[in-house]
Amino acid sequence: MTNTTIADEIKSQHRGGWFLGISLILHIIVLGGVWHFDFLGITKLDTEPQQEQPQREIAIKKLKEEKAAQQKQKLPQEHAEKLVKEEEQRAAREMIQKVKMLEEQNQQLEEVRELKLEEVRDVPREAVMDRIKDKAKELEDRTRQIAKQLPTDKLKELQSKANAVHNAAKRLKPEEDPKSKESDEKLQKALDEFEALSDEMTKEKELQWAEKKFAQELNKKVEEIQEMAKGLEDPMQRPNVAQAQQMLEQTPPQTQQTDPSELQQMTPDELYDKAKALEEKADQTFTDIKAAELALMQNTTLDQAKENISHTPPDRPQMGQELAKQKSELQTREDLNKFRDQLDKTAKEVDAMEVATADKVKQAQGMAQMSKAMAGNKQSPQQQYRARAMMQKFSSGRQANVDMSQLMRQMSMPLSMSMSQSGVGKGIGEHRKTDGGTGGYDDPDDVAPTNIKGINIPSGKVMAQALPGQKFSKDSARHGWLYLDTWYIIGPWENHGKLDHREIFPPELSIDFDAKYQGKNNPRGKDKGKPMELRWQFTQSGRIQVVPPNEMSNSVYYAYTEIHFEQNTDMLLAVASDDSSKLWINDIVVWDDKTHSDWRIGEGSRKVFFKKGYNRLLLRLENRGSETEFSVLICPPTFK
Amino acid sequence: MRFKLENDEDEEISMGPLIDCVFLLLIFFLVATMLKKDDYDIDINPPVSESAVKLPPRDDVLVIGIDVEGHFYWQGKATTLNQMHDRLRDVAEAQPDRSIRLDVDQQTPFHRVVEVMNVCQFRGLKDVGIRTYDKHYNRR
Repeated sequence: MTNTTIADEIKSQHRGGWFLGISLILHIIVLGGVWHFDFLGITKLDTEPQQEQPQREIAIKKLKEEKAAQQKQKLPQEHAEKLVKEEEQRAAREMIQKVKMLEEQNQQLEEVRELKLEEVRDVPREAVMDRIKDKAKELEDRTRQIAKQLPTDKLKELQSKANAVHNAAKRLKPEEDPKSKESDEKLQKALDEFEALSDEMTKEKELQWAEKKFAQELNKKVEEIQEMAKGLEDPMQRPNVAQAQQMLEQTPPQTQQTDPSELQQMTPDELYDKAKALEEKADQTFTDIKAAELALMQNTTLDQAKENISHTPPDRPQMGQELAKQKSELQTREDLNKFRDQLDKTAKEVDAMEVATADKVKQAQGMAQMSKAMAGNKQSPQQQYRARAMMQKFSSGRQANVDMSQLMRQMSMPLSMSMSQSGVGKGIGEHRKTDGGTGGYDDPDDVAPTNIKGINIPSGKVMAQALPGQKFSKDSARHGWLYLDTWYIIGPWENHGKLDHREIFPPELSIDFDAKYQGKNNPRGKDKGKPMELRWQFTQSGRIQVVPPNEMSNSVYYAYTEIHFEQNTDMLLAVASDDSSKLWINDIVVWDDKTHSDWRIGEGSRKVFFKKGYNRLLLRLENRGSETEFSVLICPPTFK
Repeated sequence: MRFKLENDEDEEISMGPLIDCVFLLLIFFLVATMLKKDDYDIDINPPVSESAVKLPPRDDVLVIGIDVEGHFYWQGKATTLNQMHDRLRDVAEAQPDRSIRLDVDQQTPFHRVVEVMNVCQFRGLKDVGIRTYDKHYNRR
């Protein structure tokens, strides 16, 4: 071999490499081309699947059979264990994150619960007086009814005593008044006299059975007033103070963040059970918060508020057990696939738990915002109570036109924002200064809702010109009245013909579009007598009035929607319903009409405040007759 | 006859072809990986349209699926209505120009489609399209 030969050989080796390279490139191009065209379907026969050649179908069938046989093959134990572990680790990674979030959410809810219960505990004498006044009026009304029904001397005497109780209750004075002690004693005296007479009536042999029964019924009401009157003398005797104190003392241990290494060691079924327990705990805490909020807003006792809440605890399947069972029985590839599906379902369920709890946290924080704003403004419990009572009074449907924008602005925004923006006029949303521009409202009287005059909603014109809308901007081409046409609606629940909005149904506790609830009983069909399964339904109305799906008599429906504003804005709002309705904007009640009335576009109007961004609207609709509908319209207050 | 051989030190096997091959393989896998598109398809029979515009598959398109029973899917995975609302709100805040593709079955309740389209419109997501039947793509 010569030198030249060796050099040539080296060169040829080099060339060989290039040949190999070029050939590889060519192969890649050809294969890539085939793959690409195959992807686009060009290399396949351009025929519909059902017209393809039978050979192909036979081949597919054979392949499927082979695959099915493979699925049934037993997996080697070691291999199966390894695969199961890998799958579990994958699912656990997602679930650990959600469990951590659920723990955080529980802590947030617990903070709000404490805040709300403390508020209930600190409720002032003024609130107790109002409760006594309401109850005394109720007593007087009932005695009048009874005396009409059965006009006997004894019952007439009882009526005059009830009248005395009501008058004494009306004369109750706030704490700071020196005459308050005197009026307390008068009430006590009137109550004692009523009680003595009713006791005497129940024992007297000569009296009719009906008279005795009525006396007993009325005595029960007096006992309730007596119980509340005790709270006038001693705050510790007030039912709410005692119960809130008890609930605060019996608070379950605060949720602690589990150590990450501990969570890492947990199996998916253990993680699922933990998430389930956390969701249940969060739900319980949220129910307490809602009861406290209701007690504060409606000025009732905590017990009564709890009774009125129709609460449905979260119903989650026993997936942890199912998962553990599938794992222990896992043998074939098919079992592995089933196990994998079950793991995915479990992770999804934990995800849903987190989403549902996050919604509760959002609502609870909304409720806490007002408390924090008031506490931040150093308002006394009396002032806080007055602010709530004002909202309650002015949201009532008996008040036709009310400006609630100032108070809503304060309640809707964080304290710092409300302070920095107070007194800063912004076009439509301009509002008055309260303390010389330094910001902050010291007293609810400064921002109290006021009756507004001169609002006229021309029915014919609005009906003809109103447009649908969900998003509003200053520069929008649409002016004038806009109606909300897109809603999620759920119902019906039973209201037994009462339009008092007293019983609270789940949508008032939290908005969960995926939830299923039990509604009123089916009046007909194969499921007659069984409760209806209720779900949120998307509804878009082609006209101003919105009719809920599945209209029924004596029913309660809820409608939920969101609207968007480009900036903080005050708007006129017109609510109308057949029969009664209650409307919340960002969890603040702005309209509460309990009357049995037909739909009329200008039934009532409010000047309300909408914050920048998304605003939540929840409407409760109740009816007696079989037909029901509602409408919500908004319009800039400057529009003529 | 004796030949004097020159220094053999230079006569090593050339690494050039090997490097060429490695590079070619690298490029091959690189290209193959890049071409692989994520598959977010769900088991549906999409509606037929003669006038639909054919668009190349894109990875940045958000795929929302609704099956025959009205169940929702987010990027091919089952999701709940609550989650879909939350995710769409997040998308609208982070990427308001994001393209959305609706994969719906011919038999899907139409109010479900309107519901999703309404949410998208309300949240300001305007680039929403509906996938239609493509005889090449759907035959796979």
